[in-house]
Amino acid sequence: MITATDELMIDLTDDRELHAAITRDLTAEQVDEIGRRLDAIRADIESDLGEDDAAYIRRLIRIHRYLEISGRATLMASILPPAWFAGTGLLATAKILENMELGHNIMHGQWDWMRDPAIHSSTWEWDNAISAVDWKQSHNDMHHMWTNVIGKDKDVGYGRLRVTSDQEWRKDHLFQVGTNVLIALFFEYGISMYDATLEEIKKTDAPGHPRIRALRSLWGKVKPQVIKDYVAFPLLSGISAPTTLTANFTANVIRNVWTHTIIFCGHFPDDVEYFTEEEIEGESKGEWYLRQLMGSANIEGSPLFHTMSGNLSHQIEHHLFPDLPSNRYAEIAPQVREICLEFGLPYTTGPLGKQSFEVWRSLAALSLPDDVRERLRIAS
Amino acid sequence: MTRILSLAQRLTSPLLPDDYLTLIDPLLAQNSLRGRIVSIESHTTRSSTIVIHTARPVPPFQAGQHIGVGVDLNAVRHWRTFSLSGAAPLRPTQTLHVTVKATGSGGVSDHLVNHAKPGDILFLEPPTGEFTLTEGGAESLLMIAGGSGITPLLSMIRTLTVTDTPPYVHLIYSATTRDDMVALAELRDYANTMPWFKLTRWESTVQGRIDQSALAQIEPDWKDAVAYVCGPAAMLTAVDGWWREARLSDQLKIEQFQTQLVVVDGEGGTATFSASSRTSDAPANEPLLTVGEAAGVLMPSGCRIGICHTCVVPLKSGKVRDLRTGRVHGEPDEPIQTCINAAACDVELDV
Repeated sequence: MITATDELMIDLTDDRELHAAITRDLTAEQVDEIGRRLDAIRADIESDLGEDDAAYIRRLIRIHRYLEISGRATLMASILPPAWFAGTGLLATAKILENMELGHNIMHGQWDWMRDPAIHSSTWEWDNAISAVDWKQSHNDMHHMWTNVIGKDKDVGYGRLRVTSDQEWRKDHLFQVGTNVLIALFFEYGISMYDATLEEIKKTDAPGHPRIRALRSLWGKVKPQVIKDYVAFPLLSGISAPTTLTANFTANVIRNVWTHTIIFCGHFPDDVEYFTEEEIEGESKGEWYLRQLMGSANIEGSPLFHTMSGNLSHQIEHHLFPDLPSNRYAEIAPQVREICLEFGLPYTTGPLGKQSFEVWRSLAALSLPDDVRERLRIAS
Repeated sequence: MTRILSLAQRLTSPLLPDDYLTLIDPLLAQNSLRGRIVSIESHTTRSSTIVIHTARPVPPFQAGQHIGVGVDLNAVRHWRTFSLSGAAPLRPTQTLHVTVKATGSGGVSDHLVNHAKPGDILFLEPPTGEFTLTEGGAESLLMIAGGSGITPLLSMIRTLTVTDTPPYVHLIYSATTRDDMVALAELRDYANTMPWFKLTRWESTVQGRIDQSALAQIEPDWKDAVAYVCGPAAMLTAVDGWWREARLSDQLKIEQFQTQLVVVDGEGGTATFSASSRTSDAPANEPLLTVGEAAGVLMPSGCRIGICHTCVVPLKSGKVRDLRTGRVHGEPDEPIQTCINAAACDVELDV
């Protein structure tokens, strides 16, 4: 196992021995014990779920809907600059809540235990360019099962970015800081296009270029949202039509940049580790937990910040227990951290500014080939 | 209305107009049926009649049919099926009556009897059921009710009181004690004022279970009547035997309210819930309904005892075992009742 910081040193000494075992110097008994302790945390929460949790998610749902309604209503007067700013802010906040604390978490099945068909992973659809069905497949299955396994977890750089020196350098990585700016601005389209293209490439006997077919399937999902944001509501705004259009566009971009920031800080700061398929072959439940721990990073902040990040600021806890209700991650976090302390495991966390800086610094460093980086003595 | 809603959906996509309408009033939901409790009348300490005002009219139901009632208990939605006990309406109606007996198990029935109050919102499944009065039917009816099995029969009797030419009806109402009999005053009133209606009470703690000779004494012409019987499983099994023996099974209609599941030895298997992408161990004696629920699948459910068919989902592959009879069955795409079927091997369900 290598971390981004000691990677360079290992590179210089022996770059064939890049990966150690997930378990480091823990004994098998210790790994099992960690697994049992984490299982016990899950069981505690599961047996305690009830009215308060239901009230939490229903309150969030109401808040989202009121924010959305008031944002859209305010933008009817978006020709007036104060209304444009207020409406854009309300709408962006609504979209962030809807994608993160609601969509992401509900589609993880965090609220399935309530058996309410209106708040259930099998029925929820979200305001995003990737459909719920496709997202659940690529996110819940590939990303959460194969977290940070290079070649398996598509979220490791989304096929475009080099986020660890374990990935081969390509020429286009030279421009990856600029690429990442574009990905941030249009995050929802970037992700869905990437997933759709991979799916279409698999269909070797289908006619036409895979990228064209991917665009077509993407259009099926984004059409209602594009019509809503860029045709219907601008038209309803009458004289404010052009400014409502720019406001809706801006709200979407704000949402994209925010989700991109939170997600990148969850997996790409320094000290987060990556794995190969060989390393994890036949891993036990305890080892799976350890990989989730080492492959994720938290972001510190206020309760409001946690809600606005869909509690993905508790990325470590989310990866250990992807389907436990997000409102419980805050109370689990100290228990997880204590286990890490006791067994000498890393628990990567930091404020948003620091984590975000590390993400962009690594991207910049890794845009260079490793031999150039070594000559310039730039760590990633 | 549908037109307006489909236009509105353009503006609410990917949410539904329902998601906003229910902010104003939960009863405005268009995609599901809900109702508000108007009043609750307690009959005994253990049973009550709940009067429900539905958010929109339901088609006229037939006497003897039942509805699904869903409530959130400690934030988890639970469903049970209850017979409608009011007279069948001629036109679509917004008023439904269910008569509920608390079971002491802490489920939906207990909640409705002990905790529900006027104003509460209930989730509903519209009326269905085959246990109904047949049009232009027999000249004489024999009804046998065991305990809370009175409810569908009560609906039939109330319906007959407002028809022009009711048949002769003899109701044998069996319950543990007289205090456990709901609507007794009303039934006695019918017996006193309506020449076509006869009531016989049977207290099983005093008189024991009704047997065949008792039946022949109470109603010597039982073989000439069309019989409607609703009650506990043991009673239904006995009654079914008497009619079978008399080769009169086609004159007997039965509604089963409690199911004795036959626990059978077997292997069980793995259940795959394909639409939900979940898999789970499915023991040979556990209904696939609870296996799915435990795995977090949004399983449709209703009575949980094999009556209402709300829980039916298509079987994609594998075989299932009917826990009531032990029969193993299952063809690809066969709709199966998950509440009374367990996995007989590895199974895949389309849910």
